[in-house]
Amino acid sequence: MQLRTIDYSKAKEILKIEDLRVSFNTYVGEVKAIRGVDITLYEGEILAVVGESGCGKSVSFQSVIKLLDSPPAEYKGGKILYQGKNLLEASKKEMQDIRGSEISMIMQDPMTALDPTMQIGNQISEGLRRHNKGMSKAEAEERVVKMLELVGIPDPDKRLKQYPHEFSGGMRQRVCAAMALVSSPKILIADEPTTALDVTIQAQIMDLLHDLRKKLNTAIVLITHDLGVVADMADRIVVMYAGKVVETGQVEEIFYDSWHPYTWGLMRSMPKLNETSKVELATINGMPPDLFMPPQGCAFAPRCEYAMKVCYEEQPPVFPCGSDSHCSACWLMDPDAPKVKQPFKKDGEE
Amino acid sequence: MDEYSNFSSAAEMPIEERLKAAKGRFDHIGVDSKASEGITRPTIGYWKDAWIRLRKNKIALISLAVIVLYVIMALFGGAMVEFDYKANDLFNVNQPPNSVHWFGTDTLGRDLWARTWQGARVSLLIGLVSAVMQLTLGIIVGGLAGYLGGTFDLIVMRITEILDSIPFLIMVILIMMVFGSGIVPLILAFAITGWISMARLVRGQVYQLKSQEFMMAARSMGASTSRMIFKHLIPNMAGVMIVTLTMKVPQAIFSEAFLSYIGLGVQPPQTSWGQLANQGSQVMSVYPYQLLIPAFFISTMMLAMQLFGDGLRDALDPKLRK
Amino acid sequence: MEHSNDKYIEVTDLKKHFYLKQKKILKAVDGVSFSIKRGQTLGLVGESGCGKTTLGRTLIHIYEPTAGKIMMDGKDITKVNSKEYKQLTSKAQMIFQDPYASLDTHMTTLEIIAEGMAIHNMYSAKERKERAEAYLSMVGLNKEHGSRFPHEFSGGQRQRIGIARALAIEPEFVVCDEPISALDVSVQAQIVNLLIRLQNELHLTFLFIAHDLSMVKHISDYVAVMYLGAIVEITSSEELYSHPEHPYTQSLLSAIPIPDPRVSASRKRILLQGEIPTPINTPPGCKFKNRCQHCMKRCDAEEPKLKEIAPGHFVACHLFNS
Repeated sequence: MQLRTIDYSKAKEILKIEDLRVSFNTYVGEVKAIRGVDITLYEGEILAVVGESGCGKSVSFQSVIKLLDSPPAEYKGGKILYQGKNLLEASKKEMQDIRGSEISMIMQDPMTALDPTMQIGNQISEGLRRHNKGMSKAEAEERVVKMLELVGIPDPDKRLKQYPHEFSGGMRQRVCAAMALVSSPKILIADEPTTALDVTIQAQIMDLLHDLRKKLNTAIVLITHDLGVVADMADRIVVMYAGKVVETGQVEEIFYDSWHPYTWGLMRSMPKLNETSKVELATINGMPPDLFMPPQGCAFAPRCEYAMKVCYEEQPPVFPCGSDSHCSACWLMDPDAPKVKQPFKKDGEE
Repeated sequence: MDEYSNFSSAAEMPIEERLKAAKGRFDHIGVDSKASEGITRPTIGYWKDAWIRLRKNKIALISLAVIVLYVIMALFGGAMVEFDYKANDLFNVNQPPNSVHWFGTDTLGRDLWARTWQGARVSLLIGLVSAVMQLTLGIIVGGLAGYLGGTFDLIVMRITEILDSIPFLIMVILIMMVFGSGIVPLILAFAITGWISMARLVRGQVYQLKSQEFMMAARSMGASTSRMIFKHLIPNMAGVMIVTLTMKVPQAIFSEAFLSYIGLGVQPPQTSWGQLANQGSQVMSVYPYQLLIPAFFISTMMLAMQLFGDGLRDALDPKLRK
Repeated sequence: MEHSNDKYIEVTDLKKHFYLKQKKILKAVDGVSFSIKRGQTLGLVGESGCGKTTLGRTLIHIYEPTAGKIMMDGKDITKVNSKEYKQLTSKAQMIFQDPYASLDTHMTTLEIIAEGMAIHNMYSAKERKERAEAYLSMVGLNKEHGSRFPHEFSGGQRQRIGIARALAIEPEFVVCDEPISALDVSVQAQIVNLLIRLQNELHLTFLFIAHDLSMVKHISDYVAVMYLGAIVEITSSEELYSHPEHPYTQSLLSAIPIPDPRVSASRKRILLQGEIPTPINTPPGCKFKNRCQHCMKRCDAEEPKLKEIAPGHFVACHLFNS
């Protein structure tokens, strides 16, 4: 049994996204990519943000470090609180100080995230020396070597003189991790860090992130479309759909006591290795709505087997699901709704 | 999970009817198979999309208006006055702009308004025809080199490099020596010197497109070479080609102006903007308007074409599509 | 090497080498043999760079094989001239990996689907349109989608258009080149289901290429695991998942994420060290030796051959050669 390291009754909030709304202005009209998102991140936890492409999971966290180009992006409302400060109101200068040193990011594609004309040692130390003005070159290099060692790159003192093309995909992602972590940020946002990599490398990178959290106690936000990837390493999971959070909970609450049909659909569509071959896989039919015209009711209703009249007409509020950490935005949780059997229910310890 | 599969049977009725039939707020409705697969945005084709984006670009639109105005004036401007562009009038030499001669007259008393628009005709003709010729040659040679690759590509590219190493002026002078000076030799000279960069560009484009999966898909469906080129390669290159064309036209106009200015281009009594500027420059200190008028048209035309080309490039860039 | 009589595809000792500069040879596919029975699916799995895509492309002559033999439906198709190639494309089709790059952005959905039929002169233009619409609905899209352009669709929808395009030629054999790896997990299942359904309806034979083993099981009758240009293990998919024998297969299986935290936390994983080496100038011996925890002296010297260790279960590893 895996030991969860976080005690949420004592955990301290480090980042709080409140009712965030982001739109993209295109010439066909306004695409409401984020339609009121609340996410809390605690110190030292691994938070997985899961959802299909276009659900707003990346945009939410790109907003946190203001990576979105504006236009077309436009912040329509909400707050992003980091150490008591609303980052949406932070100045460019303040953002630059926070980016990289307090909150950093690992991108999806390690092939394009590194500057091909720069030695990786310099690339890693660049941010470090910008944020720590007094640091000497030797000090910075020492720190880079330590960092490369930490992310599992052999012969770091030689490899820091090399250029990105001399590294393989998995190694580059490790370099990106080193780059993101070198100024010991409090928050690391990993945006689909393994999507571009092979499964065997994916496993290595996931292990690395897990390991780094233990060593550095950095809060990690892991953005992914694959629930399976996060099963054994996330502490909490946020499931997003069509620009909203549909369910939040600790890992076990999501996997064994989920209360949202979309989460069920995600779990059903995961292939199971113990099934016989050539049987039809369960899927969520159809596709997410175009947020150019978001539906009046629950965005998932048209794909939901359980949809009720109210689902098509009103947006569901967020219902608590038994514990403080677990809540679901689904009308099935309404006391008046018909009772449905949870398909993935499993009780306590096995 | 069994009760879950039963739910889908209700999905046959249209969603509106199901919603109407349901009484309670919490009555089961089920999936709406139509909505979950629909596309709500209006359909926009490649060219329409480009037009929408171009329309939003004010500078490009103004430039386009300037270009269109000049083209119309080139066609009909000369007919607006009674003077012929070649007719000397030695009693009215070097008249400043007035109500009879709108742009004044030159040292031989020729009406500058008529000459300006005749010059525009010649300049635009040279620009357009030579650009189209460069484009055609470039597409054929560069396209084949890129598409066939291998030895053919190697040989063609070496030849272009050799041709490219001959300075432009020497090339033009050589051509003038063979064909004499005038509009046709000028167009020829521009075409011969200008297609090389075009061919390189096309070759690069073809190389890039060739390795794309949709090209491979067409090939794996058994598409013939001509189908690959005309159905897939050319439509996909069209945007870049058009932009290059709009950049090549002002280049040729400018080269013509330059050559005419140094006396290598169009010979009088035929005229062009460059030729007008050349003659104006000889009396610049006394009658500055004779230089300023053609100079104004050359520079505004160049600017308009460049800016329009820029706007077009942004509008046609597939990366900017959303 | 497989039993049974009705082998639709039979490949013997197929090699595809690329000759690079400085006399380097990239052995992308280096001596591969397998067969696929009519109406069945062979899953081909391996990390990127193992040569699986090259193998798929060589089978249908997007690349020309360097050596070996390919039989399709009893006919030798190792060498084809351009007429035979066109014939081959009417029987063997491909579904591509990248649903964004594999569709020509200048064509509407219907044009894309009907293109193959037009190439092969199948049906009249009107019938082609009707059939294209029929294929569109077969892959779960509707008529209104026919006049849309590729960029208006989601990844999964585009991949379905790619499937419709390949099937509209009415092929017998389809190479599915990582059709799901660019898609979200939830959409992957949709595509796999669709492919299984279409295979049953249209009696297709599939080669299904993928980089991880999780989805492959659901579509394949047999699975081959490839490493650095060679097949290291091949057997029925049930057998492969219940009794993986090659150390590489075992580690690939153990890298699959399990969507169950308790099971996932308690399972023992074989984490592969390092990454797949380049297939350029590979050293002698077993290709997997650098990453294998069972590496022996013998693995350095001698390359293991595929050996039948149980009925229908072939493994290329010295652990089974005693």
